[in-house]
Amino acid sequence: MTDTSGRSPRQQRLSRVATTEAGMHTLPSVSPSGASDDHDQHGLTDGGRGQFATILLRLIGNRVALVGLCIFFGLIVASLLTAWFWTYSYTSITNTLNAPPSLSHPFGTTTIGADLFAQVMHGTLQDIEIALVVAVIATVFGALVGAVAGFYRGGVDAGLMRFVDLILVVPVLAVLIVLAHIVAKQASSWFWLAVIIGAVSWTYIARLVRADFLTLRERDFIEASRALGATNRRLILRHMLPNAMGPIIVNATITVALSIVLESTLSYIGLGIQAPNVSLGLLVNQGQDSATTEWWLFVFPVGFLVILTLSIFFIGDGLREAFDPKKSRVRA
Amino acid sequence: MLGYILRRLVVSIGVLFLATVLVFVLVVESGDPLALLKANPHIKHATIVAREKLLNLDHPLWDRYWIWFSHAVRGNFGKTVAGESVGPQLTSHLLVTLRMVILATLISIVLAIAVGVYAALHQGKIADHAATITNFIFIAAPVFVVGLLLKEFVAIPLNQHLNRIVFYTSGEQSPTLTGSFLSRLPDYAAHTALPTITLILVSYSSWAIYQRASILETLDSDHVRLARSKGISPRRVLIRHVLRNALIPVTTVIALDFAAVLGGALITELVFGWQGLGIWFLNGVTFLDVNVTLAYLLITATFVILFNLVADVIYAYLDPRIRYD
Amino acid sequence: MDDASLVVEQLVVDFAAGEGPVHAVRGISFSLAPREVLGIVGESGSGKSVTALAAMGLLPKNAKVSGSITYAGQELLGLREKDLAKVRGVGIAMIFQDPMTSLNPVYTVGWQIAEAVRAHQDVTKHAALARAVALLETVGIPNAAERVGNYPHEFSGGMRQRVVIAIAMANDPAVILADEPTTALDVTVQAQVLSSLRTALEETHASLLLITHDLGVIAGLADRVLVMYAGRPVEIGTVEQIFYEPAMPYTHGLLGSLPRLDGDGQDRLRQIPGSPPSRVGDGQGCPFAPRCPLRADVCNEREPELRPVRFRPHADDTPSGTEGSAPHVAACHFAEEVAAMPVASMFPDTSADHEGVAP
Repeated sequence: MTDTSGRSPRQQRLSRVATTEAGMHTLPSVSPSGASDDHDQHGLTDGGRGQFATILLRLIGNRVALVGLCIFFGLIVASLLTAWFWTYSYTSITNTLNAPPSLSHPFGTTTIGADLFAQVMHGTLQDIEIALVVAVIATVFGALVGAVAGFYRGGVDAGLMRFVDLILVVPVLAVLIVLAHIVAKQASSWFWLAVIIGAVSWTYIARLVRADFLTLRERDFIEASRALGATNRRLILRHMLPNAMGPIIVNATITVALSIVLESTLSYIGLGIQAPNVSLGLLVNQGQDSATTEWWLFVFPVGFLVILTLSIFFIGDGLREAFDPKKSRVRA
Repeated sequence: MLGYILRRLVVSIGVLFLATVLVFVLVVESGDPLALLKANPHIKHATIVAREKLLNLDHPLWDRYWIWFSHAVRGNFGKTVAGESVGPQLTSHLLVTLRMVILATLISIVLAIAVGVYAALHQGKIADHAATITNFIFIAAPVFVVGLLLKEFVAIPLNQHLNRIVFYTSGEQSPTLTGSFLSRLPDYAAHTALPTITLILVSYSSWAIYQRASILETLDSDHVRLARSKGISPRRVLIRHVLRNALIPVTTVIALDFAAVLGGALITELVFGWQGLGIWFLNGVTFLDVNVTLAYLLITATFVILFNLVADVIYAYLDPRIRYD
Repeated sequence: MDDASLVVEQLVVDFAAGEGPVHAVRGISFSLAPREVLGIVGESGSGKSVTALAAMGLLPKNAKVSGSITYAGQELLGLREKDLAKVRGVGIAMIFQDPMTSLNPVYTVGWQIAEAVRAHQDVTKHAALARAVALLETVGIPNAAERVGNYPHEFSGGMRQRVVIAIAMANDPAVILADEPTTALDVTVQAQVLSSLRTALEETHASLLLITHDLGVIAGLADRVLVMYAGRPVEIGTVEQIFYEPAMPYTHGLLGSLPRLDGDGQDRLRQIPGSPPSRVGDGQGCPFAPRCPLRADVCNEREPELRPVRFRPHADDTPSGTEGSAPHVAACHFAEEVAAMPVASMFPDTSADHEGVAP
């Protein structure tokens, strides 16, 4: 076959091995531009779009994920706008106590006169902030541990996996409670809360990446890259991690959602975000006894908490479908 | 296979005790459990000294750990910060929690499999969408939200409507309950219903989603295609070749998740005011009671390990490929 | 064809996919006579597997099938799963491509064969198991009585495929569909599996639809050959007609790319340049035209129909093909000229490292 890129036949063939082996999960940085084989192993094409675009389009085409995206980003925008422009801040105290929703207080006021709308919005923002930090910590740490364990195998793998077991043998919540209690004394900033939640959330990603690496390790394109002189670090970072990126991204999204659940549970117990700061879990705790009397104190925090978490789960599910669609594979 | 299970057991126990060391250090280093006592001007100095001796607070860290360890392996978990014996408290609280956890876990497993299979077989239809959406909602909603919602918007209105208490929302039994076990049963049931339902709802949902995905994947597999090509009845294909194989990955997921069930039980107990392990543990942590904290850790970890063992055996029965590891 | 076991008429299979329907099969017709071996040859994506799966009713849910497939006079397309189950296994049996995933990993091999037996024969479990042992022996598994209690993961790929053949044979079907039975196996193992396949045919007196892209396998087993390209048959004939007088350039190309023991060893293998066309969207003209050295304007305008090749045989006694069930047909505007050309002369020699090889 003719090839106009000017490389030697050996290089052409090697690059074709790499792209056909790497398959669907390859992001553009790995495959040489333009040389990708348009046909999958069953001889069907997909029109030749780039990987990123394909995944993004699939995500947006998924109605449920689209709803999730709109809600999630809508919440972020709304809470930011509230923080900048709303009449009341989440700490302001007014003289109207326990007032039901009205025009000036859309979500009503609390027992001490705080504007619930501002508090719910701030709580949402706070929860999202914490969750994103947790996701970054958990994903980076988990992916690294998993990558090292899966790549080097043997003793390193066994040791690291025992470390994982250490964390998992007891309910995560119990560990968190112990840690939170200790942390609550040292510092009251939400950052440390995010750190400890991250410290218990990385295990699933680690296991996932490890499993992926164990199989990726055996693939031909790794051997080929090694033959071309790639160092271990380059292999892990430039060749294997991009291939595992799909499940990592999906899992990171789910971690965001789960960390909101964990943090709000901690705050509900009283070991998470403390007053005067505000989080949705704390608000639920404060409103739980008024559910039937001052219903707004309970319904709004609960509603926003559930909607926030749901939207992220929808996005995560949509991402999972986008990376690995089950329906569009057709065999000849 | 026996060797495989024994090895896992040994490693788990080793990991467990490593965890106890870690927690011990964390809890002990974070403060003085008798601080409150000391701050109270009415307590005599002698009492404080006696309590310190009781709790071995005069020993260095590693000695204290060794004391705890050597007693723990013989079943003696030491004394609480208040000077009482940990063991009996542990047992009574455990029995309360077990009521909820065992029932909830069993029902959750059955429900998860049933819903997962049903949704998969009716993929794309309304039943599937409904099931998936409810699953998602129960995964997204934290345990305490589900519990509170059930308490405030199901139990209380229902009780008011029927003008009698069908669902108790507080405590695990009526305070003055007496009589034979059988006569106490309805009271237990009325108290246990809501918390158990709460725990079931949050546990079954993620397993059901997984089961559904597992069935869908199996339906597409090569071996199911061959089974169909043999001309056996569609129902037999479904039960013997689809269901049987699709149960295997779910076993792992459920086993891994059992610790989370225990965590959920903790919160549920809080919401419904049960005097179970959860609240006992929380108080222990709040008062820096290292013996209570470790006892809780040990007992929950033991249950998780036991549960995983059972799951391993079931897994080996379901999947012959791992039997000869 | 009154005595034909399986008759396929104008089968069309489309798959609903994102960018529009994928035309996997665009109208194939053939009949399979009793005890005949018909080989279906083609590249990946030519639609050969889909044809077999359509006959068994095993296509995925997004497949739209039209046309007719009859077995023993009964129309198979559109039958419900319950009724299809009565035909599968005992009327038409299938052997699949990947032996590593075809068998259920949680049941023993004996159990799976016995299950096939008991689906159509009213026998005890004990008797079914005995038949399983006998079948394993027939396909060449050593120590059959012991191995009948083993699980699939305890067998090698070639042996697993032989178990699959045993399952297909279990009820003496009239038709066996073999979908690339040797593709996933090493060449050395292929011979064993093919030998088991031959034994299966002798024991069951079945006719065989052999789907493969390997012409060597065809040469060894087939009576007639159907060549598929881009979802349609482009040439049908006896195995001698196809191998010695190919009347369609694609067949030429396939044969030319085969290493031959009867060649003089100095010839280069000749490739067909280009790739098969996309199965999405409707094209015009002959789908092979872009790759064909003989293409003319008429090729881009009209897609050639399958028509009989009027070709007088050579003087040297290459058999011209028996006047049997069907004549030699090909879908090419220039079929007669193509048939007259020596095989493997049509395509240019385009190996990449042509210069690098010492003269």
